Amino acid sequence: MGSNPLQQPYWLRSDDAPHDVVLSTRYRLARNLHGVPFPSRADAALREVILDRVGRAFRYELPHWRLVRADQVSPLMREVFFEKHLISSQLKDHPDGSMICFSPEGRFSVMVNEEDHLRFQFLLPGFQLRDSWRELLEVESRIERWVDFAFHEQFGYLTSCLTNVGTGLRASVMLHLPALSWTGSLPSTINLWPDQAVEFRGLFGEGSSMNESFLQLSNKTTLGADLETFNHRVLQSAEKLIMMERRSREQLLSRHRLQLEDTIFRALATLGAARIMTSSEATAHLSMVRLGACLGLLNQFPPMTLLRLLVGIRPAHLQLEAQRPLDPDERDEWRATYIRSQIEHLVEDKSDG
Amino acid sequence: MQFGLQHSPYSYPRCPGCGLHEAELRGSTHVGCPLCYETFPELIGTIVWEHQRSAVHHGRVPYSPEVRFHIRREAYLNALEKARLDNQQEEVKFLTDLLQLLDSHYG
Ligand SMILES: [Zn+2]
Repeated sequence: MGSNPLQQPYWLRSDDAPHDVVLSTRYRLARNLHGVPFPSRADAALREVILDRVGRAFRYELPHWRLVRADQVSPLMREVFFEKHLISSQLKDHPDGSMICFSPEGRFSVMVNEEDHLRFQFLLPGFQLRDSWRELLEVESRIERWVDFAFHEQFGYLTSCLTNVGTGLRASVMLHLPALSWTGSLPSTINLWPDQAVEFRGLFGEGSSMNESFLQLSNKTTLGADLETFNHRVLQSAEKLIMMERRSREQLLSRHRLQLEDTIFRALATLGAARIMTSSEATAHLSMVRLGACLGLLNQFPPMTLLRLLVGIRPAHLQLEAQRPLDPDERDEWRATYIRSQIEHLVEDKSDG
Repeated sequence: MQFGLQHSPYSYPRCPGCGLHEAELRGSTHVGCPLCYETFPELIGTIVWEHQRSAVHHGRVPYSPEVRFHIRREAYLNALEKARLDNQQEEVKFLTDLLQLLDSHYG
């Protein structure tokens, strides 16, 4: 019964909504139980009580979901979940008295006793910011049948961190902006972004690098407007960035086609031949290959396959593949081997077809 | 060291729900429990304003007490029926108590 957390999550599995610029859409909703200290102030016994109450709600309302105690999952698997964006960095590093709930089709994951008692997450492939957040609220409502959420007339839904209080909703999209990055205009574009209600982060959230062409865009605030408004602000900024990236791609093709093709095919050649490859080097080359695929220069590489490859080259995924711990040098070797085999596979598939 | 010349954090108010001191909250964005919002409404309002440029919630609210009672009662009854069918005696007892508690609160 229930889903297999090891299966590829929906956002990495489905080709439902391929998009040239947006890799994925994510909603996160923070909720806490009424009258109960937040996890940071809850001792081990209280955390168990919270797990029990929330667990019962899930078992009756969403019986096909898989509930997994985070402290009974190996550190490697927690790292894998993190790399698949199913859990946060905090839950990965502090699993005691915490739980992860996975929906059967791999679209939702809920962290229990992370920074807040409940962190609902909805992960979708491509650009699906329209009104998909309503589905997340349905899950929240099911749980609310069993528990009272902490709510304040003035401040709204109460959260452990004051930057999440109010709606508790964070809508975000993961963007691939290689043309803006290639032309060097990405840093200034972000720094001078006119809408102060949104913010940019690296591929793996807070604190992760923003030097690459992958960025997360999300609403910065959660108070003072309703869910629709916050969603719309992110949608507007995303649409604007998508337009800028597409225009930049067109300009590159029309003005610098030879240089662009040279960069893309060199990236592909390196990926197909290298024996040692760091994560950042692989990410940079995969970014260019994905650009080539989106521009129709490399039709044998479906963008979704490249996205899976982008996640598959992360340290924990490589160690899962190797079925043993790998030191950084070994990982670079495994990564290069893994990428070569995947590239060969795609090229063979194409020639067979 | 001269007593009385320095501020002790213990001279500040603390939250009865989690023990958070007002001094701990200053310069932080984290609170300890829902009751902190009742205990330090002004300080929290200031911090929230600094970060969010607003201090008033709009939109979605939890179920009203009346709706919550009916929805919860139905959820408990469905669960009770399932637990009975599955012959889970302990769970039946737990859910029966829960149902009684709900009825005594709202019924
Ligand atoms: Zn408190």
